Amino acid sequence: MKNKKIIQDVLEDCNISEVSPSDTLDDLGFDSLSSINLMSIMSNDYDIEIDPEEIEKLITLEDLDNFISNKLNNSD
Amino acid sequence: MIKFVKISTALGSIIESNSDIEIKVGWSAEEILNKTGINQRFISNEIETAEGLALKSYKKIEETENIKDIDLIISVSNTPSILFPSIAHYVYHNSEITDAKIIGINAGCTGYLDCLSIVLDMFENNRSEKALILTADTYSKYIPISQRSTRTLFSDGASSTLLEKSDDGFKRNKSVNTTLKGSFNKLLMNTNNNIEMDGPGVLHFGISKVINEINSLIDCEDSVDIFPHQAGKIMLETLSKKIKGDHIFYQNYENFGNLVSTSIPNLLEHKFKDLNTSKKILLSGFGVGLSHHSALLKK
Repeated sequence: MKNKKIIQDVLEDCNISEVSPSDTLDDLGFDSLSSINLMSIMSNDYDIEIDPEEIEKLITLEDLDNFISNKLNNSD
Repeated sequence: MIKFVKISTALGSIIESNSDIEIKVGWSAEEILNKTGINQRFISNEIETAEGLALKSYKKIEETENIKDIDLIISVSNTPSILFPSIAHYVYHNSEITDAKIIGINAGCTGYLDCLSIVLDMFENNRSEKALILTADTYSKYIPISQRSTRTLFSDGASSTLLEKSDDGFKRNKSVNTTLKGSFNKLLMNTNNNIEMDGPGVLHFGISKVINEINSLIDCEDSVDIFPHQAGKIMLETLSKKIKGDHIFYQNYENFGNLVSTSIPNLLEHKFKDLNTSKKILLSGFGVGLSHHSALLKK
């Protein structure tokens, strides 16, 4: 996983070293507060604005990881 | 032009700590604190209403101030227990005020600014000399405890603000009042009388619109005392980080939760000395609508 720290901060209630990239976000407890955490971290730490509708399309942990990578790469 | 004479509040009488609700919401007290940043909230009991709390806050004004010559009363609420007449009418009929224009409006977290804007207009047009703003809400009555991410954020309460037209008061310098098209259902009372909030949608509104609009108001200013709506931890952290310049950013949500339109007057009441010694203040409300109303006031 490329964005372990961000994902661990977003999914604060689960230990991401113990989960698989194919696990669904629903199963990992990703909820509206997780979306808020992700938007806040990306805005405050990387100055990247995320539309919550984009987050709703993500299914697995791997999707989330790739999504974050794309956002970080596009902001360079 | 406008002088804050006195602000008083009356909050829900049940002080609810995180440990009081941890079993009901399914988060530990520590998790509630980490997620919301809130230590406790004030919840109305069965007989406390928005009208009753507004009247209770007003009576504290009546105890010490000359209220006979109040000529304008404006109230704001999303959750009156009586749909009409308004809370302003309710307080008027239960007060010693004898002859005032009465206005009741329906707004959420921008409500204090909406009322203040009307008072400023009335003062500037010589239609009022002394005004009372009432804010009151009891959101908790409309949020089931199972809706934990919303229920843990809000408190119930009311405020009264006595304002006078005064040459040594604040003058309105700039303001912004906007609503995001297409956001009607992001924070609303649904047809089952439950309050629903799309938290990510509201935060996105804050990041994409409110912050930019606030920055446009104060980009040429230094040392502004900023009194923002106490929306919650993440929104306020983001605001304080993104607002440009060297300003004082007041907050007290940790011990009060989100009091809707009462959050700004509650903050002003607790920082009343700072308010009256300040030369430049920004009051900023944002939420239901989704609307944003901020005003830069200067002496």
